[in-house]
Amino acid sequence: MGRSRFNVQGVTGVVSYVSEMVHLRPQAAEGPEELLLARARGGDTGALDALVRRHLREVSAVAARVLGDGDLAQDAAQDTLVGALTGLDRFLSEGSFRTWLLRIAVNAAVPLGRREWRRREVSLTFAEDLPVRDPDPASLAAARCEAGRVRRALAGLREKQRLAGVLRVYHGLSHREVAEVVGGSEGAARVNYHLGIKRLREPLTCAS
Amino acid sequence: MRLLSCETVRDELLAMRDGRLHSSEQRAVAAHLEVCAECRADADVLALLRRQTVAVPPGLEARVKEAVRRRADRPRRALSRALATAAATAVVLFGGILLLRHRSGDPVLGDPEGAATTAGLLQPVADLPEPGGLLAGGLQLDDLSTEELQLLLTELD
Repeated sequence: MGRSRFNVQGVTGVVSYVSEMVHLRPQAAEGPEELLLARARGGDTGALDALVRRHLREVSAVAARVLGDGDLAQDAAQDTLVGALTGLDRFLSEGSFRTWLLRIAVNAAVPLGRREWRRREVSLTFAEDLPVRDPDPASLAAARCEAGRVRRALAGLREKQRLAGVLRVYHGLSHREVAEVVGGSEGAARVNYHLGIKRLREPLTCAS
Repeated sequence: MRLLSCETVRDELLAMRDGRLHSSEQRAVAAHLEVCAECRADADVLALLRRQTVAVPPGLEARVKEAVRRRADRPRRALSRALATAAATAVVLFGGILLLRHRSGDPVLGDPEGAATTAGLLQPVADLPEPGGLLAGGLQLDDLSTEELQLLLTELD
């Protein structure tokens, strides 16, 4: 598949990055989601496991991008899934479970990020200087450098711009869905997204 | 080929990257990018962002599953504990009521004979009051002399 995997050691944790776009849409291997949700509401641990398996990747990815910190992202992902899957009665089935889950993930991640960024002056200085353990150090070092640049650039955005960008670029949400997750109107989500991308032009295209 | 506005193109850049545009739309967006440096810069930004993907850290799935199971199990355990506590409280209350009723001589649960039986078991016979005994030591009036009786009456007066 030609996947080039490398690790970026964070200040407090590890986030693995792969150098190809992987669609994070949940897989439907375990059957229809509605059925899984109904079983999970009844306490079926098999269904709960299946829902974790199905949504963990996307939840941890959105948390990692919102937070820029591996350990915090894991905490946020766990809090999100534990809270959501043990509180399924609060989920209204006419809405999208995925959007509901992403809203919980964002709500879990954003306050953690705010606290952490206040605590650390340089929030997103991931250790691009760490020793490379891959057999192709040159390309990995370049990739790590790029990952660090992206992370710092995202950290420089306003919160709603970053959220709109992350949810749309990496998770394929429409402007309307971004508005559902983040709050506010669809128009505001659109504006935040375009302003965010515009603000990323300079740090991401000029610095290279 | 129709001309597209920058706004339209920027909204379609992700769809183009994901191959979700019809070929005519794709050609129109590509033509716009040829001549518009700002939209091209946005396309470059998106390409760079899309190269960064996140994998689930090893062990996280197992940890989350365990945490979900533990939390999901908590209400059931709490219910069991509440039922056990309620049962224990009921036993203690019932026992207390039984004890109070026996001490006051009330029949218990429609078993009039049982009260006397239980009271007998709970209280030693030697401690019960002497029905006819007026004086300490269990002396009877018949045991007293005339003088002692007069003295007792004087004291009672």
